[in-house]
Amino acid sequence: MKEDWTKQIKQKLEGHQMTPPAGLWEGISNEMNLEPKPAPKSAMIRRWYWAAAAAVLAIVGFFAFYQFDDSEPQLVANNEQTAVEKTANQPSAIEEKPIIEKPVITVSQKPTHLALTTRTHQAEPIVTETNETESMQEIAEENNLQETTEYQQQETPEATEAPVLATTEKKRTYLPDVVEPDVTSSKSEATSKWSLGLNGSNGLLMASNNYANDMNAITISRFYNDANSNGLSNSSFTSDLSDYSNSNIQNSVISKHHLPIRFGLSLQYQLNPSLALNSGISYSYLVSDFNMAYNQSNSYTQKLRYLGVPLGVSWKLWQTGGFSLYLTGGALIEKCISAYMSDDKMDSQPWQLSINASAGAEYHITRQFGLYLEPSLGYYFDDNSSIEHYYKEHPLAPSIQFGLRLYLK
Amino acid sequence: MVNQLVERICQKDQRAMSELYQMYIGELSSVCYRYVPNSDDAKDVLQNSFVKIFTSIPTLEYRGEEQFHGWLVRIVANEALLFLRNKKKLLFTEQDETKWQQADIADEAPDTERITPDELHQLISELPDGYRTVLNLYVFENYSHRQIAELLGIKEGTSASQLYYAKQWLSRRIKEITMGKR
Repeated sequence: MKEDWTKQIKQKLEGHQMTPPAGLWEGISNEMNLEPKPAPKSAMIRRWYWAAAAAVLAIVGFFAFYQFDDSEPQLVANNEQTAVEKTANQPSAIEEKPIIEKPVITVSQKPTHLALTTRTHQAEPIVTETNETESMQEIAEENNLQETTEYQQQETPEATEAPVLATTEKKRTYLPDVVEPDVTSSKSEATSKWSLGLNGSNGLLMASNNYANDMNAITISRFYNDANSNGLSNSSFTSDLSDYSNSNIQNSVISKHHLPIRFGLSLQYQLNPSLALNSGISYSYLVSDFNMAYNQSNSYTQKLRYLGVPLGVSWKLWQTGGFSLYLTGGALIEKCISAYMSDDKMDSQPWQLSINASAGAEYHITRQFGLYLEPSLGYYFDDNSSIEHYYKEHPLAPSIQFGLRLYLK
Repeated sequence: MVNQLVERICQKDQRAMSELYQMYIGELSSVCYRYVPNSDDAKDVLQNSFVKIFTSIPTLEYRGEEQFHGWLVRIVANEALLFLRNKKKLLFTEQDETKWQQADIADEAPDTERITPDELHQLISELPDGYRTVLNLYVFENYSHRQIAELLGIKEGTSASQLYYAKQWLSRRIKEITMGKR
């Protein structure tokens, strides 16, 4: 004997829809050992397309300024003047190598919101002092590369803590604040052997030439980790942006380590036609979720942030036209700069050392731009901390990187 | 369409599972939240439900979309009940049973036309667990008080009183909201 109005409320809620709880599909696929949902994946990929487009825009912008500055006579004058000031007891002019402004990426926790701004600022200039008797004319010929494009992806406070990343004030200077006389090389070398890289993003796109660096770990294969074994279970080449690892620890804590996100900027120096040295700075972000199996309301999210310095060597195997193949090997040392378990700061801030090797293919879109793809394999050493994270689960982490390389004239 | 999805899921087609999930998740979320308003708990319930759905589909005799839909809703509702029972979250507010028996059935019905589904859903989620569960089972799943009593291990009278108070409360709240809209 139901009253009409209860029938009405039943009808009213027929077909009513609500947003599902966050992370539900991940939980289901985890439980069922499914591949991640295709739809969100494609949405993620679209995001990386945007990131890629933004990276390209930034580099193009960088070049626009670069070319513009070249034709600015004031620049030369400014440069001369300051150069003289800096070397007051040296009567002749000092040649300045191109002052390179590094593109800086600040990392966002949520790469979904990507705002691109172009700014100018100075960061880690590469400067050489060479023959004091070089003519002023040569100075004029030098490229004074001052412009910097900067991606600003919703800066997180952590990101801005990084020394390089923090220099976001808008300023335009034509000389570096710090001249590093020990970084020397001849002019011709200086103008042709350096290349810059911009790294950003998690996963598909690595706008970077940081190829000694095991950048974002897009797992080519997914790992399933059960109580007893780690197994590479699927060798299909997917660009899954989520990795589901499920470890059933004795006390039934289910941990899920998200794919590491890494951003950075890099610098490469060509030793000879086939060998190059790489370094730079990287920022990594590791997120893990921990759930108590029988009390899912007890869940924690761990967020680790690292700053790192990669060092590596790359060896060009083959080159034809605009296409080249190379191998790289290197190491990355990272220091945890922030560690949080949900809202609680963790005491342990371990160092993380890793080595990696990759094979890369690069295509030169123009003389100065190279677009590359690098499948790579990194090994992450145990950091001897109690912190559980992605690299503890997957010390041997395959990844694939995309990137853009900018060769300086 | 749905029958093809079901067939593909029988073949363990993971893409089909994802499609089925996308097709029904909005509605099943609404059903689940109607029983279990807490988001973390609802996630558990829905996760268990989908695992059950995907693993049971191969043994399911498909008899059309409508019945399949009903089956999905029932699985979610059962999982939600299971959850509520296991968590011992069901505290039934025992009240004077004579009161509801004498209750004036002609109580003025609230104007449900003037309330949105979202508002209604929100109101139901604000009900105490016991009221809400009985209301869900009686009104939305068409269970009788006898069935509800068996299902929840309570007395029939308790089920009826829970429903009575749930309706009283809901009616009052709907009236408040619709009054405010005038």
